[in-house]
Amino acid sequence: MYQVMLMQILPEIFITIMASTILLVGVYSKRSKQNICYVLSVLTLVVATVITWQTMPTVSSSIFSNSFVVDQFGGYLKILLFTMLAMIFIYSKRYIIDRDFFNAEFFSLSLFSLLGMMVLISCTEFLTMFLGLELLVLPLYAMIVMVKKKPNYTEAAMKYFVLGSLGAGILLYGISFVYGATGSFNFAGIAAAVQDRYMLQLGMIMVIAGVSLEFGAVPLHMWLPDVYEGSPTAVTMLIGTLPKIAIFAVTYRLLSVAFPGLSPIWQQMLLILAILSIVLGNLVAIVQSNIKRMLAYSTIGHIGFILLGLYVAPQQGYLAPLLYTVVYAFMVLAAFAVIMRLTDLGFEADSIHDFRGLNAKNPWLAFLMLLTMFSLAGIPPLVGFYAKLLILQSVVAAGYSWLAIIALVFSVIGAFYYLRIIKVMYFDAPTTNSMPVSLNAMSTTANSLVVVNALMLLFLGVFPGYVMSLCIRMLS
Amino acid sequence: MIFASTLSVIIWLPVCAGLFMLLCDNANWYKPISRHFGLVISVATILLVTNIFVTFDTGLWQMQFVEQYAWLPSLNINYALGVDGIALPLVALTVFMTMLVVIVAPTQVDAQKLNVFNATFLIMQGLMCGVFLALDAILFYVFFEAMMIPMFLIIGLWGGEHRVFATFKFILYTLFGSLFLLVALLYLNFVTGNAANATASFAISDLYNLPLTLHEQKWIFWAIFIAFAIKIPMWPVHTWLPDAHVEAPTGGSVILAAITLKMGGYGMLRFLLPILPEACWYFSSAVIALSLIAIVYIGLVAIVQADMKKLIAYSSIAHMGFVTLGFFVIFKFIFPELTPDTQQAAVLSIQGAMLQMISHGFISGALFLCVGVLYSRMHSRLITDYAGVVNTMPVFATFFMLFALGNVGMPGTSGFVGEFFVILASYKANFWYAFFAAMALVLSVSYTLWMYKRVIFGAIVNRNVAALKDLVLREKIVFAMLALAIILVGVWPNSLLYYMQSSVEHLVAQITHVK
Repeated sequence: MYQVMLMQILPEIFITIMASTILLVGVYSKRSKQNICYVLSVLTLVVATVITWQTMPTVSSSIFSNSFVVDQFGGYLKILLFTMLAMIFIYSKRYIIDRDFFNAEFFSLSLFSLLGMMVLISCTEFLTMFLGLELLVLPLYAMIVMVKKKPNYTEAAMKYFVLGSLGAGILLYGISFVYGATGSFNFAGIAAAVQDRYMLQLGMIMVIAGVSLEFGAVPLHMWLPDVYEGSPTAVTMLIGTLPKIAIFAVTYRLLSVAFPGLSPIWQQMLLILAILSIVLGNLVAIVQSNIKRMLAYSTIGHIGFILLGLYVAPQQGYLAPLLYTVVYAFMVLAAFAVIMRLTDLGFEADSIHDFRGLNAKNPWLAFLMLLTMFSLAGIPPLVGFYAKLLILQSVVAAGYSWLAIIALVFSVIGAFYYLRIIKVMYFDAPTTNSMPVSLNAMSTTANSLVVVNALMLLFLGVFPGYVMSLCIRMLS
Repeated sequence: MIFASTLSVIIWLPVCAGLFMLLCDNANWYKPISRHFGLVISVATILLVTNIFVTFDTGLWQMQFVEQYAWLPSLNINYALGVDGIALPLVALTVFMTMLVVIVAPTQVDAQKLNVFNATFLIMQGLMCGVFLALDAILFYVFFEAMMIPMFLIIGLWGGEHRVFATFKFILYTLFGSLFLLVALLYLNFVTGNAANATASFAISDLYNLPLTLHEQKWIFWAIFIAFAIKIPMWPVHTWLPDAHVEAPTGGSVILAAITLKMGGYGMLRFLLPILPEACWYFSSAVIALSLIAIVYIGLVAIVQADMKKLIAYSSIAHMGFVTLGFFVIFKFIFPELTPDTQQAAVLSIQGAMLQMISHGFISGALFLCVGVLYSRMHSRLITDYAGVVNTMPVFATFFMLFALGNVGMPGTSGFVGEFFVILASYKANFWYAFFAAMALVLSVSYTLWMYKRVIFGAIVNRNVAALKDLVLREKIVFAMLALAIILVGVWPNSLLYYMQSSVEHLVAQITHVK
């Protein structure tokens, strides 16, 4: 019996073993030979993808006393996470070598954080969920401060830590209420239990507040811009992409399994969070001059869209927000990849002015950034449009045309700041000190991966059926 | 084999060629052919469109050359293309005008930028054809929006002094308009799914004859109307146009005026009139009023312009007023009952408006090219910088005269036919509509010919004018083709009406069917 169960969590076991192994290998190899950790980590992710693919069940099954579920939804999302983390490793190799934290700890911590996300994706009860969440964030706190040369990263780490802990606290407090009301930690058990409604509602509100803090939804978004801006770009890239998918997955399970009966209440909550996020995210992003901070506020705006999709999910299903989350993560990855491509030794390329005249210097890279920005702005024929279309379609079909109009008005306002990046790249003349001398700091693999990543946004925009059918299969 | 999916080829050949040209921009092997590659592709698409003209069955109102593939099956969105008598002339206009821009480009742009310039216009061309050929609302929307990306870059990269401001104003204005369109389309899609045992559909033909209450229709009307009114543009949402036109490079102004404005008109014919006939009837007075304001007020504004491009831009708005007038004036007489007489007047009115679109495409394109010719030599668009150009550029002055007369609506030019039809139809509705619409004839004479007089005639006062060189071969070819087109449509309007007839008749039947 246990053997069968252990086989089913083979990907998790494998990642745990490899994360520890990489740490050990790092200790026993010289500082100059740390490349082996990098190779091992990428290999780990490749092998984990194969294992997950092979062990993915056709029907979902709950294991370990219903605390963990193995299903296609989780399986595909995990494969997506492996792919994205491998891309992040490849993108950021040069960056972390230059900043002197190319070592086993970076890779090992990333893998442990990944493990947390995998647990989070597959959890079906509150204890596993909390475990996963903490495992997700703890390594990230450490990774932010791994650059020893620049002390200002500490601020971001502290903020992330304090507010993250606050979120965890709210979440735990909520969980205790839910347990008190239903006598169960298990999602399905909560829905089935004889409920003390008021206590359950109180608990649920806190749980959702805790989750939305991790998401970064307004008004619990305060940490997000500071952390994005204050972290090394390699870590920002990680924080900005993978956790969003994992947290979306757990939100999906919470809302659809644990609290479907309370949907009128959490819908109201999500509606307010969604509108506030869309409005504030898009408005504040306009005035940012730091591109990482701008992307942080744009993230808040996009989170608003995801929440909007979740708001109508009881009527319209979870396809739209799922697609949005996946597409969003890949778009942001492409954006950070281009930013990363521009960084150089001692040069962070995090001001919007650093992009001045990029088209004159490197038209190809400017074109990739153009695709990414138009995709984030949701303009066809890029894939970001279909993500937005699907959300709006379900919002309108649920009978909230006015909501769709609000969301769209603010996304047009939001289009302005994406267009500004394009303007800076294409219409402004380059200034002398705005860009590193050589743009070829990254390896050929990383360069071609950036190209693939950005062109993918165009390709999937012309053929959106692929990503759509993948998401449909996840939910079936 | 290629003819089985001609429409797809018309769209994607230029787009792919354009991307290819961007990709090979710096390749050594490509350099020698780069000058001609764009033109070859452009001519190839012209041939394909000609083939459609030849094989098009004018007796049918149905879509022809239909292609349909599942594109996003989960939302029932299809990649569906087709062409009817309403779309075909506009597609022809698109490929024709783009070809002219590509031919004349070497005289306007630096040699090393030429390749990228042509590539962008080819991509534009493909996307614009997509707008006219799409049979699925979302596909239409995708092309409608995607087209803004190259236009944004055209104005921003090669535009004048205030290009950044102009291009932002252009794109934000259009984005703002089209978001309401998107919501309206989603709502209509939702309604199609409501009917018993029907699946929600985005096919444009499925959006016709929906059971919408008048209240719903009113809301949807404004949502769709705003999008297309901005595009046309109608007073008072026209303010992006003078900026965009003035700052855009010549080719950009030509395409903007000749084709993208027509998308607004085309959208009204495809979406507004047949989907929401009752709301159109309900709001027809308002739209007619806006059109007449555009014709008269904007005509007056055009008179006082000091900048030639701005003058033509305002003249465009005034001329497009005829298009919207022609579309909406029919609601004044086709309800409550359609007699053969009113039916004929309605068909006449819509055909007139469509002819006006085509003719305005030729004429405004030609006028912008004229300004471009002067600008590339003098680097000034101000009327006061010129005088006596006829002394140094007689050939140019002759062509310019012809185009100016076309703009005025002189009988024998294409500009006359459309305006005449629309005025006739509005007379049927109300004397005063016709009266104000006919004022355009006076106003357009004042602004066009007065500008012509100040620029072309008189004594040479500017030393640079004395040094002007007349048209080069490429410019002559382009102007000759435009002149031919303008006169052809002017003296033989049936050449186009013949293609539109059955589609327009069907459209009128469709509109009146509801009540």
